[in-house]
Amino acid sequence: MIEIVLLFLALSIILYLIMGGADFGAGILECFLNKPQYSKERATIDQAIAPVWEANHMWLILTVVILFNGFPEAYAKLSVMYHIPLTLMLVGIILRGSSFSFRHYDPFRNENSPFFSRFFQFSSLITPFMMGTIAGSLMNWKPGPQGSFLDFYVYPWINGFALSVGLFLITLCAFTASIYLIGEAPDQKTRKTFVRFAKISNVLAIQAGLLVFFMSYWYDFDLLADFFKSPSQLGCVILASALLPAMWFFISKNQTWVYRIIAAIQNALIVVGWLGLHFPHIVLNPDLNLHFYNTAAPAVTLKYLLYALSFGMVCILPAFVYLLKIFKGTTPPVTIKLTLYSKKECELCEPFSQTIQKVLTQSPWNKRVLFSQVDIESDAEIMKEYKEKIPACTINGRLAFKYKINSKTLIQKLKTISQFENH
Amino acid sequence: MTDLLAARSQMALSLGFHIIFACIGMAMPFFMATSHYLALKRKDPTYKALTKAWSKGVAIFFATGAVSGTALSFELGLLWPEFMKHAGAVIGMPFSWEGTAFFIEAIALGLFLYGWDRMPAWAHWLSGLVVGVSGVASGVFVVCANAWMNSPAGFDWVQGKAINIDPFAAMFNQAWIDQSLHMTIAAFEATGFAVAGMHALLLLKKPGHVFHQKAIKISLAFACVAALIQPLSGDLAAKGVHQRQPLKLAAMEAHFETRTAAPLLIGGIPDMKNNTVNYALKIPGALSFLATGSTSSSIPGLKDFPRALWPPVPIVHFAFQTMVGLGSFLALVALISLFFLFKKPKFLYHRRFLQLLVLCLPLGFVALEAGWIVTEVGRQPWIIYGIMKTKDALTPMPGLVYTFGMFCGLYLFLTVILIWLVRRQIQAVDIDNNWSQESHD
Repeated sequence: MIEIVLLFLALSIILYLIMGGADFGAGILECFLNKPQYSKERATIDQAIAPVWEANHMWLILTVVILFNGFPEAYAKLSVMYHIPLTLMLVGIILRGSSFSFRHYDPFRNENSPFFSRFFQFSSLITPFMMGTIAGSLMNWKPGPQGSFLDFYVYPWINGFALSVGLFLITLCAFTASIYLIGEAPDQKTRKTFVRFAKISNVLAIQAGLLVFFMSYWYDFDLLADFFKSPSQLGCVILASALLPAMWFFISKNQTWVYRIIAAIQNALIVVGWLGLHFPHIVLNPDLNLHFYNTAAPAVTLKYLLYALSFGMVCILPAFVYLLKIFKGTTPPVTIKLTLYSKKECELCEPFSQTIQKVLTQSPWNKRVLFSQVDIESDAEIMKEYKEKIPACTINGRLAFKYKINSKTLIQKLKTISQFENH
Repeated sequence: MTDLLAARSQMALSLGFHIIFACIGMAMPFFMATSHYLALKRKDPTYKALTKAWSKGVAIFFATGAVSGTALSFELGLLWPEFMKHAGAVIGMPFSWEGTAFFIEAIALGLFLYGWDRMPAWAHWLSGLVVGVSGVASGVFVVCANAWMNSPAGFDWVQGKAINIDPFAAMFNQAWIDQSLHMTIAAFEATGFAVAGMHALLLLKKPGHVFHQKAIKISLAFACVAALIQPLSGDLAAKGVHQRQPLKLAAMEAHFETRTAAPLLIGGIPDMKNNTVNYALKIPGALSFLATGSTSSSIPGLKDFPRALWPPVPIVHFAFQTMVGLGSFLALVALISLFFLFKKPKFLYHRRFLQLLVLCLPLGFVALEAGWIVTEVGRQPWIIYGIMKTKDALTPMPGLVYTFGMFCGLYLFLTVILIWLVRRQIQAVDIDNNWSQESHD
């Protein structure tokens, strides 16, 4: 029974890393965008995360619930040992979630609000760093010799090894996020930015991974040897690395879902390798003797927990897949038709057309407006109707502008139409 | 500040902060779904705009509720590891159900908020309703766990260990119906009056604005029904407390001496030195009647219990008086509102009445927080009533005052920003409305 609960625990951790981790990664990437005003990359990130981040975040809640319901003693002990890093992580979680949705729902600036962006980026960086640090410290929990406050509450996680795992998790999240974002890019230029991010973060993740092994050697605990002792975990690491060329191949072939799934599998393999190294111990310290079997709740509790989890998965997974299908599947249906009426050799037409084009390259209109241009000289009927009116544009068949146009009013009209036209 | 006080303050702050967003997340999706239903049925663009405006409110508050709720699930262990060590196995089950409900709520909210042009209209409407239903479900599950702390069940406590655990009996303990009913209704009442008050404020600035009038009608209807049935559920809860936690009832009423035909106190300042209450209005026999249904029955007083087990009487008493006073006032406002709604519709948007609604804006939430203080502080010094003391559950980690200070700063900061953001959203709604009115002319 414990084993099935542990499978659920591993599944929630993996899914949290694959989904929630990527959301943090997107925030990390934003730190390096460095564009003061409007940026298409930031708009893409915002649109990609907004519908799903709360659902993605729930895998963490599930992880905690499994831990404190199924393994209450372990949960209690870890909460004491990691009081400080867990608290810092919580501050990060609170700031990340709230600043992201505040930014998204700031009606005038949206994702371009520099104030909320700064909080979002900083907290996206600090949260996975603390998570990684805690994970690293679980592998090598060594309190100081005196038993003082620092020895027990600080040194076990502020050390080169734990911090290097934190660093590794940052690069891993950034890597996953940039791989996912390649497929979300609205145009070639933005796509190139994310491909570049993916390359850089890929290299950094490998370097950080090597640093982790080096640090473990430095701290007298040979992670590499541990991996070699168990072929299945070694297999996970090798497979994760071997999948990299395949992933880059499919990126070059533009097979969005193939390379996304490969990246997700790599994340999963890393978690499986890490958990396999631990099992059945929660903290890799023989003196502490803290493992899943001696901290598990009584069988009856585990039984009901399993019922709840199984029922939950039956409800959650289809709903979750539906959510992904709606937002990450095909591009959304076009809802607004905008038609420009003009003719050749027309002085006013050029700036008129440019204003429209400029608005339509911005999000969300680039995805939602179907633009067409009509030369009035091509059709006698149209010529008759628009002869005196060009340049003009209609939105969903209704005349919206003639002779003059400005982008502010156009955006406002598009906004209102997307709000009031029925679907 | 001792570590115990710091930990209790941090927990109180975190719960008090979270409860507001949790309650909005329970009730507001139903307002939104009602407005959305009317928008779809009547093809009314105003209701559609209202649905969108409210959905943004739901999104902002849900996000804050989700992250502050995550914080709580960790804080339970960070501050009270001894409690979680024993309680986790017994009362973890409602949390695992709550996790599922919360998850579905988050998925449904994502679908609702961003599904406007991508989903079939009625499937989209349904996703909004699912947000509300799963919100209420997760609220009920969490309150079940709190009810268990007041009325522990489903285990035997032998030599400092819980054995013979029965998670079902623990979850469906004696207090769960009373408490979750009272809490759910409170969520609708507080949110309803807050939303109605907010739109009344805007309507005062722009008299005759249809958008705000429709908003008031929907939110006030929910608030009125909730405010009128809340005293009944409160009565049920009080009778339960009398049976299970007589000491808590005595503290709520600052009832020192055991006596038959016990009076109900209105107001009053407990004098803890002489064990009396000054300046209170006494209604003879009313407390006996409310607790047992008979005016002559005997109600045990505080003095019957060892002083070490008393909760902080003045706090519990004041909080209880605040809750009951505000609840009664809101029930009165609800009666007036219903009268206007059905008999004198033109008074519904009268200046004076709108001002009354603005006055009620915070009152529901003040009453709700006061009620939460009654149940939590009234349980002290126990964390699991009669089983484990709060001080014994505390973490050995020193210096908790610093984390408490940090959370104070964090939540204060978030509150300020939320207020600013809601104002900004209202400005944006105004701009959109103006433009749509022009375009319809």
